[in-house]
Amino acid sequence: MDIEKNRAIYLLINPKLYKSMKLNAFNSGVPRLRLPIKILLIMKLIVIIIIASLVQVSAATFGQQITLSKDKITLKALFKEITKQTGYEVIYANKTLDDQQTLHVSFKKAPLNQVLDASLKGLQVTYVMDEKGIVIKEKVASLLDRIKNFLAAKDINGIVEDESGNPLPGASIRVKNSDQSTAADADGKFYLKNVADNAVLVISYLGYTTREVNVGLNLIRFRLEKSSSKLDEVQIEAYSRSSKRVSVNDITTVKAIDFEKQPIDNPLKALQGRIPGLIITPTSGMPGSAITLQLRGQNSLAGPLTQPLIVLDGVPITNNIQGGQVISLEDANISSLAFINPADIESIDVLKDADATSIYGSKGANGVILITTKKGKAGESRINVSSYTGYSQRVKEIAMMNTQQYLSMRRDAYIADGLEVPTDPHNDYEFTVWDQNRNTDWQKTLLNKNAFYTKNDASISGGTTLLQYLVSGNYSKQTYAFDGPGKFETAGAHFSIAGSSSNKKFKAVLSGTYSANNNVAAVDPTTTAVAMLPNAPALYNANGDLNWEPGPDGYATWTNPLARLANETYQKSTTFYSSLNLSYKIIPSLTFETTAGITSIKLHDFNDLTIASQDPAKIAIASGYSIFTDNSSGSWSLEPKLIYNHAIGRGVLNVIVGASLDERNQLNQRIEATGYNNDALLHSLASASAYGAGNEAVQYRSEGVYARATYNWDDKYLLSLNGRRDGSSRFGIGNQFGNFASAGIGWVFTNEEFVKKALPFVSFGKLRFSAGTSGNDAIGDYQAVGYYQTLQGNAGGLGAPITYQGIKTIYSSGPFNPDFHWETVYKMEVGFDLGFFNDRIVLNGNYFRNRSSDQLSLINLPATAGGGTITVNLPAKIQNMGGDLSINTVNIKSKNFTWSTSGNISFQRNKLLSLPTENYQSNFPGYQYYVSRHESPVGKAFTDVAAVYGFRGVDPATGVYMFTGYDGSATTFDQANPYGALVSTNPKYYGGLGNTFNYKNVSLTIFLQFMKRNGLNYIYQGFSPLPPGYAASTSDNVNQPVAFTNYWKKPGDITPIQRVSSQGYYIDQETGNFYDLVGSQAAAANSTALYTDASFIRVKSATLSYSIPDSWKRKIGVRNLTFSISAENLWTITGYKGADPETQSIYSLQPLRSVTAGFNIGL
Amino acid sequence: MKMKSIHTEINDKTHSKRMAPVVLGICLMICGVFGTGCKKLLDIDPPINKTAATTVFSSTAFATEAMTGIYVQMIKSFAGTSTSMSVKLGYTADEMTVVRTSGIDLRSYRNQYTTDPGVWTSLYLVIYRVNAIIDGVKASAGIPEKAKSVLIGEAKFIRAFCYFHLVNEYGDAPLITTSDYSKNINVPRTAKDLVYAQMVQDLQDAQNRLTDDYLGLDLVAPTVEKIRPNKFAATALLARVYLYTGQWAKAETEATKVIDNGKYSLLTDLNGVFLKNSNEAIWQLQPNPLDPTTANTPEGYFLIPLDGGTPPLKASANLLAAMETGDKRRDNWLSDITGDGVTLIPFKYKLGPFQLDQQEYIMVLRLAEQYLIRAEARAQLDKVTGAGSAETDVDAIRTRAGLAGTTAGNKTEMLAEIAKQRFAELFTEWGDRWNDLKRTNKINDVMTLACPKKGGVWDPNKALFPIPPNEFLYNPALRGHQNPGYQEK
Repeated sequence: MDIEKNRAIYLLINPKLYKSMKLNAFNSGVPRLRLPIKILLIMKLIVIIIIASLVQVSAATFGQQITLSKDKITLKALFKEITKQTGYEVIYANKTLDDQQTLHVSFKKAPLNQVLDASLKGLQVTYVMDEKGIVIKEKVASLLDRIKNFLAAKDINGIVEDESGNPLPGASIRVKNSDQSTAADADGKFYLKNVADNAVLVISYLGYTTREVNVGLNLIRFRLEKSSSKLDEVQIEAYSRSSKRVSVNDITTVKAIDFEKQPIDNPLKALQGRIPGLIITPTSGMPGSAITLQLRGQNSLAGPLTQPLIVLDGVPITNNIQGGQVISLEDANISSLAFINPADIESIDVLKDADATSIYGSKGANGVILITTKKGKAGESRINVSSYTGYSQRVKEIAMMNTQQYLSMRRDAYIADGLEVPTDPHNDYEFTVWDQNRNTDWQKTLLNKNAFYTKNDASISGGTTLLQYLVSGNYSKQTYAFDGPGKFETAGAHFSIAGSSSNKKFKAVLSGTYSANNNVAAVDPTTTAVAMLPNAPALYNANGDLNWEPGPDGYATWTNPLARLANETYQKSTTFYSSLNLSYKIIPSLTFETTAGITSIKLHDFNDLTIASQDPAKIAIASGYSIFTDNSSGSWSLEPKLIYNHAIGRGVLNVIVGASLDERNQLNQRIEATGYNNDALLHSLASASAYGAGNEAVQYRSEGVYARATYNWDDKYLLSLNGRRDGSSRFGIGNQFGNFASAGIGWVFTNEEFVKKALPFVSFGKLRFSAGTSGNDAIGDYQAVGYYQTLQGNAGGLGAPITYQGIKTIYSSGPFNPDFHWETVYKMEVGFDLGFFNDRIVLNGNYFRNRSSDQLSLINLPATAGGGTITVNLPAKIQNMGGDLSINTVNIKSKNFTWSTSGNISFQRNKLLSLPTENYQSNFPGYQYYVSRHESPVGKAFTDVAAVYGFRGVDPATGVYMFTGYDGSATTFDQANPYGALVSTNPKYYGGLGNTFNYKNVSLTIFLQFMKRNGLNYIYQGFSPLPPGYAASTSDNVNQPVAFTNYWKKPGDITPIQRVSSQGYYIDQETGNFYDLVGSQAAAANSTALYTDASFIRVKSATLSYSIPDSWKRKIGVRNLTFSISAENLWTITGYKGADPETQSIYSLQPLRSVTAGFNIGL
Repeated sequence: MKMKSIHTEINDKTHSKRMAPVVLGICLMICGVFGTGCKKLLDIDPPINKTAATTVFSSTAFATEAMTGIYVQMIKSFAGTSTSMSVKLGYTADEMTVVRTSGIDLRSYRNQYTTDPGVWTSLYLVIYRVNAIIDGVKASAGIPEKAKSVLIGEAKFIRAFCYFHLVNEYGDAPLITTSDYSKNINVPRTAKDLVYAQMVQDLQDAQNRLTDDYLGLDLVAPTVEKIRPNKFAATALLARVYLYTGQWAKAETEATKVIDNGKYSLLTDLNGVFLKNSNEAIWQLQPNPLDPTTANTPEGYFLIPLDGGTPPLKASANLLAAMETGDKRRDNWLSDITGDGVTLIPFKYKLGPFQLDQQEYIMVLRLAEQYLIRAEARAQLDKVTGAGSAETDVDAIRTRAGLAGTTAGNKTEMLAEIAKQRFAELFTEWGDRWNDLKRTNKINDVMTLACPKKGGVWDPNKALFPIPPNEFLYNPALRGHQNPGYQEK
């Protein structure tokens, strides 16, 4: 039986009840006191009896009687009832008394003074009654009281538990306003000696609402409720756990509940718009494609490798890894996190400030993303099954010309050049061979499919207090939004086993994730779909075969875009991540812990060119090729540490001393086999007639030792200190080690009495400050040594081998710098965490400033020094600053309806504080712009800017694009200043806004993402920017944007697009001036015209779910049953004209819109 | 339970004291493993597909592979298909007329370049690598002296070859003789004379280090393949350097060393001149024999169209005018491949694309040029006619071309005749015509007429190419020293 719940008091006025309750109280085990204490107790009892009688004497007795019986009543309500029944007002100050505490009352004609005595028992108050009312006052400790307190001092034994009775080991128990404190042991038990009888215990545990309990209540079980406040959400930080309430760090946490119903295929996508300061950009809408991350801007003048560190269950992993030759992805990289099932993830924490990241030393400079997988919990077995199915499709089409527009432009181009429109059917097929009236919207034709999506998860978890387990499996499949056998299929398993010795001193947690992915990829046809001429031939012949539209010589006049379906492209990969955590509690305050992790990704990739996919007319001379790629990457890490946790003074000191060791390996091998004359043998290397091959391997090691100390004084003053020494194999001998340190302080001002008095509506308030250094070794491997490499046929390392004088030769990879060293970033941050109205509104704000003066950068060398790039520490001072604000509110909270909102907005700006030495200045992207204007770039933005031609429109006289010249006037591109203008693509601000509505069992979540920034204008982006009407070659032309129809036609025309030409140039007959229109278009593609507003507000996801009511659950015997329907990328408000304002690419598949529906059942 | 609790607390306290050294010990252990032994832990495997420079220069075979790699790179950079110096400098001058625009840099053709149409960058990248070989070989302990000498000789020869083209296409050029990047990122332009002086020094050194024989990969055994430079390659280039710097007597002496040593002869069959290892070749580069498309010369690949195709270039009117009636070079080194009687394409190399049997090498230095160098030197030294005169050398060329002896009777006429013979003999060979026009100050006269025929207007500043803009960005010492008429942008 629950003897106590939030200070429930059994008032034993009714004698019958008194008896039964007393029995109950003994039965339920009031602390069995120790022998010397018993004597004390007797003395105490005597004193209490005397004093009680004194108090009763002092109070006037009135005859009013009260009758009331209630299970749960607040003091406030009880006082109201007293007023109602007796007419006496009960007067008290709020600070004297917490009138919200609940009591269990049962009065039957009880006298008023007895009622008051009973209900105020244990509180540090006294009361006075007169004719007007009852005044409750703070009890002033009299000499007698003090003696009484001394005599009343006792020892307390207790257990701290959660709502369902599980122990909360490590919970902190503190005696209010004293230095006495302790922590619960592995079974949740604690012991405190000589606690004053009237003392108040403050019991707290991470993630739970802190409780204050009167010692006088003689309790042994202290139950803590899970906090619903955002401030108490558990956050994973470096090697430990914390919450916003007690941490000095700037950490943003995303929990499984935030994204578990979203149909995302990569856990990183769950972070989009949710993490202040983090910009996440997928490179394409194809599954598995690389994702770039940038946290709080770039801390380097020329460093593209500034990605945050990602740690999965304590094991560092690499996000974008080299894929195979799968040409379906825009770049060769794939995101390894696509192989991690989002359903296996418990939480993702993003660490940003110096103090949070500095303990990661080398790798933490650009922030840290900690991913924690789900673990089993003690209790009965829980089974969870979910299944989601849906479709996705293309959102937007790029406006390209139709046949009539295209042919008329091309004809105009010949006319403008004074040439005949071609008639030779060996060339210019759009005029000579193909149907002049056929019009195909290739984007509609080739990107026509609804991509199918299904994802199924099942898990079982449970365990005892000594052993917990979780096992889950998943299978998901996506198909592509275009023709072909393409599919992206993943099957995976995740497990976690946690066990401890019976004395709970030794603990082990083993978790692992395995997934097998089969990516039968088709080539992303986006480029083809956009570029294909609108009157290109039909896909199929009348007899249903692929149409090759032969020309007069019998050879194909085009490459049928479906011919690729005869080729085979697949990528099979297996991923394994595992971590083992062992800990041993040497003494209660000291634990030795080791985390060991391994990761392994093996990827096999095959793609071929079959003879069947080639022009049938050339089949006699056609041959096939195949490319075999095997990439494997693996790593291991080891992190031993000692953790010391001890209550000192009014707080807890936590010290961690540890070391880390990490090795990563990557091995890539490729074989290109050519000259196959039989499609059936394309998988056989022996059947090829020639080979090209290449391989490369990279190894990286890092190590570090660190110490971290945190101290929390009375939940009021927080301090954190970090130090780390790091070594990395990427540096040359003598430069391998670097030292980093940081400090953070926090002040919970709402725990100060004067603040409590002054700002009663502020339920929580904390100011934070942190400063420190973190390092960066995010450069390529093997940069500090000069190397020679075998010369091969082409840059990719494949192709025909080269021999000279009968041997293969080697070639220097160019100059190198053996002397670069660690980059150090100096970070500073101030922030606040505020809660209002019992944390109904939680506000977090941060301002950061990062400065760096020796950023590791690749700098360009002049050809005279050997060309290429070398790695140096750039001696420029740069600053990256910004801020963000997050808000979480519970707008409406009633019995049936809740509405909560969470939102964030961030911005960042950077500037150059001082220029590097002259040789390295050119690496500053805006350098040429400032130099050509004789201005200093100091104080100006240094990243996300580009110095480009200043676009000045089309010259109405010549019809040629004009650009800003050196003197500021408009001129042709060859006379213009190529750095005449500066554009910025730095987002002005960005963020997200989520709203969740719950009505009874229905829940609706709508999440918006927004960003204000400049992006690429698809009109000028071009394939290879070609002027209107110009064909790159006479047999392989590309379509042009419909905007190009508005080209210049005659002098005086004011148009946005320059004149047409079939030759790509124009010679003015009068002046003899030569105008290079191809060059002019290329300049436009590198001018201010290339940039356009790419701001957007996107309904990133919307989820509607319904859980069956509890009564039904019991009836059908399930713990939970939820149905949901969810949409991703639902709707975008943007002025951007291209396919997608986020990826801004015309070459790759845009992010798709998807709708999924499914259910989740828990048993 | 109660007793246990007390016990635990006592233990806790005593442990705390007892644990102090244990904790300290563990800390020290961590520091020991990760602190002092740490450097070992950072030792990583070298990359599998690369060799450290120090290893390369530990053995002759390795170092020779590196030197040989430079010849391969020279083909890629200077003798590629459409970017070949021979082709590009040919149509930049007045050697050829464009027939088909694809693959042609029209701005170069019309002399309208505003950015570098040339090979500044490629030349310096090769210079960096020969410097790296010179530095590496010099410091090597594993290479025998004799091999060291040959490698340094070859490297210096290549360095001089690159500088020759740099000063001729760009004028004054930064003189770089080390591979240390920190010394090379801030280097001003060096006066042409000093660069020539370095070329002379390098070539003389190469003459001393290289053997009369062409060597195999062991740098010891002679071979018939003329694809590594020998002493006469250095001598031939030195003769040219002396000619270009007006040191006539020295030019005559050096050219004579090549002509008289008996190793080389002018082939009477003009169709055999450009075959691999022909008797006239002093130094050739070997195209990649394994390349199924250009197993023969990349120039042949570019200039000779496939059956029925349109060639990109044909001989210009000026080139045809340099060939007198009956000149066998017109019949053998030009070809009316389309059969229209006017489209005479350069046909020194006769093997076009997809000719798998390797028969032709890229000609870099050949004997005919030495005759013409000596002829010009002699004419300048007023040895115009008679024995040992310009006349005998010019006639050696004319006779081989099926022409009668020259009628030039005085120095001026003889120099004009030599210029004409150089044009007719050396067209599409490494920009010889383009450089001759500049060297002899004829460029403005010739190009003022020739340029409009190509669709451009001649600007005397175009005789030198602009230095690429990045050089000014990355090398501050160059700023303010662009060639006249060009931007530094």
